[in-house]
Amino acid sequence: MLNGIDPIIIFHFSKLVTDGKVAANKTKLPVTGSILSSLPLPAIPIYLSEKITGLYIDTEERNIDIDTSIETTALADDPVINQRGINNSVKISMLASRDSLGLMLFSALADLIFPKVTSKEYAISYLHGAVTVFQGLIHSFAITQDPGTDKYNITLELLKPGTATKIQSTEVSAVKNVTLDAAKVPGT
Amino acid sequence: MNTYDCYKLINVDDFEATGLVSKELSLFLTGIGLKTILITKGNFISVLIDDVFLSLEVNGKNPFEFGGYAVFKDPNNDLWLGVLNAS
Repeated sequence: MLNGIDPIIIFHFSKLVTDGKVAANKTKLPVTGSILSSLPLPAIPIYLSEKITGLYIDTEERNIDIDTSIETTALADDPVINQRGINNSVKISMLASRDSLGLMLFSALADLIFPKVTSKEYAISYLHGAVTVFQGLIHSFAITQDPGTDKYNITLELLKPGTATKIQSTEVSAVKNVTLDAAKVPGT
Repeated sequence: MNTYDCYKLINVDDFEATGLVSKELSLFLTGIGLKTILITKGNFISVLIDDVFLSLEVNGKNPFEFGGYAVFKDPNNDLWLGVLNAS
């Protein structure tokens, strides 16, 4: 407990709503239009408290992985450094006994999340003092039993999403006044 | 005869190699402004822009013209968007 508040994991679910009217009106083709909105569903909090849910945090890890490539140039200039983000994650290891409520909840929620990973109709928030993840995504999840005991280790790795969403737009120049001819298209 | 201002969007081979069924592009088209264009892959590669849906090579048509827009694929397999000239 920190300041009397248990650590908490919150599972957020949502439903994507598509509107096929956008494209179908003009073309009469049955086509999926762009996804307009995400309908939030009630969130499911799980208190990581031994008393309430029978779960407690064993270890936490925070990790950032970056792929760095350094290229020297033919002109002996300063090397060009390119970096690419690979991972920004928090890994939480928890302990639970076989009959704990939290273990059953985690197992059921993991099954619920699995089909939604591509549509991203879920998010997970984790709040424990300095280690927080808001609206993160699951990277891995495992439940393993300690041999010869009824203790289970739960390992959950969450990816931290970006804190700001930027719309990257590229400027595209026009090839002007083109007469389109099926026999010869521009760009040739 | 209609004339178009043409903008190169993406390379069709590169898009198909990603295995995605759709990709949203946010492009600043000179002379027009910021446009959000959805490229989709069904039986045909298609483009959705401003409520207009254009499919490449439907009935063998390249370019495919509709609703003030056109799409075509050049010999390098680059996908182009044509915007009808008002003048």
